[in-house]
Amino acid sequence: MSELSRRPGADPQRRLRHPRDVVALVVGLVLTAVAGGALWRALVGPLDWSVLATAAPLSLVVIGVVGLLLTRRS
Amino acid sequence: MSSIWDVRRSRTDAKVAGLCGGVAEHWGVDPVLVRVAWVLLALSGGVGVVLYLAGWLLVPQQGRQTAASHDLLGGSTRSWSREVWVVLVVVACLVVFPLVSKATKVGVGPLLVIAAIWYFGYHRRRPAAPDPATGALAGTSLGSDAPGAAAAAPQFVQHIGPPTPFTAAAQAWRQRIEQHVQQHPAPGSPASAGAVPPPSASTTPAGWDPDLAHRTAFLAQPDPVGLYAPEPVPPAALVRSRDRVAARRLRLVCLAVLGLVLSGLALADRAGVHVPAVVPAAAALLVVGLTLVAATWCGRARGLLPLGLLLLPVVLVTSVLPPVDQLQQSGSQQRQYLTAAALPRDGDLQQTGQLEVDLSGLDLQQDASYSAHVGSGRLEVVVPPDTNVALRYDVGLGVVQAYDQRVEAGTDLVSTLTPTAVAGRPTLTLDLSVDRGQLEVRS
Repeated sequence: MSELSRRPGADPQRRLRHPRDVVALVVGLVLTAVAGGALWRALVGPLDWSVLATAAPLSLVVIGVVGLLLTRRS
Repeated sequence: MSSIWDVRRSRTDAKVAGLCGGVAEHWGVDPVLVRVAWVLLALSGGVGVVLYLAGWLLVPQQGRQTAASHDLLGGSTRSWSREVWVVLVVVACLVVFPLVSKATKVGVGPLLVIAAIWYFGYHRRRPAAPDPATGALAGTSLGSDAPGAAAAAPQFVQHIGPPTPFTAAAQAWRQRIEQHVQQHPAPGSPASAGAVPPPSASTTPAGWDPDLAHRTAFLAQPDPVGLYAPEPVPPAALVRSRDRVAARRLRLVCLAVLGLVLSGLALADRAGVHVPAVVPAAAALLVVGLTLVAATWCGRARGLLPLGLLLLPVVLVTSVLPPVDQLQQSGSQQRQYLTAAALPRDGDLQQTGQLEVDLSGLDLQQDASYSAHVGSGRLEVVVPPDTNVALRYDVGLGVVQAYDQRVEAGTDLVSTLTPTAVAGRPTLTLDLSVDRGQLEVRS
């Protein structure tokens, strides 16, 4: 049993019923971002690579932090 | 804690000789940590290798009384004392250290770090050895010094900090012990007789001790708060079933949306709307990605993740590749443009072969630009007369010729040629590139 479910007041049934699939979240966000960029490049116009060079790593950091937080809370 | 000489090589957790597993078992730490530390020791002048070989030879395996050295070297080594072996190992370390440290370029740093971690992080944190007389830990105040007083008025260590299941169990035990002591102040006292009804004479066997029976009954329930009781089994089948249902529904929704999107794109393409090849792939990837995000809470349907990972390289490749209509077949291609409007906006492209572009009949009324690229081969452009021509070229490896003169040859040829402009004439800017081959511009 995890530490959280041992905590007084924690409801292990509720946690088991709604597990968070962090892998799906992280991969889904990355795939969505890539797909959005490809659609933008194909339909709207060229991507600003200087902006992308900053935004992409930051997005990965944010996604990683979100995944890490969700993993710690799971 | 037992001595280091009590270490035995593990039989069950053995990668090479079981020494790391045995040490980890002896110290009660993770075997992976021991192995990592041993590798670092090996890098530190080869000390780890010497120590491992020494341990292999000198440390007996679990269940055996003799070490491998006894089997290899015979019974003569049995009489060697531990000090002799320690000296031999130290000498071996001193001999090996300068040889290995030259090769690995690693000094005694890892050795010192591991020694510091072991000493400050493990050795000094060991609990004090229990008092063999009382069994109590040094520095603790469990009970009183006098055994009789301890039985009459036990003292307990007060837990400082938030309650935990363990402290709750300890509190319950404490209350039960205090209650027991109150009811039984001393063995054989009248109060204890009143707490537990004595059995009748007819059912009392000979030699029956009421206090012993009470203690036995008291200790018969070892887990008053259910600390070690088996956890209630969750309705796993029900949970899994519900998850499966949600995931299945999500997968069906994903497939339906995917079908609608792709059908819409196909209909648009048939209706004449230009749909690049990357759009269907990216749209499918977008749908799968959003479904995976939703699957974070609804449960991941089987196959979604592989599908997304399969679509990812497809999207990347189709997004990077130029449109198919820009890709020309290899061979010799000829182009001729007569008006500025006819000039292709994205330029001409040929992967291999020869591309001849005739601009001699180009009628320019205002400034214009033209670009062409050849991967491997020859690019030849005939410029129009009575026009100012600005030539920008980029040749990775090859030769540049302009106006019947060899400009330069070699690699990474990047430059701009701007002949003297004649006032009143339009300017044609040529942006020409060849990866490998020849570039020629003539009039």
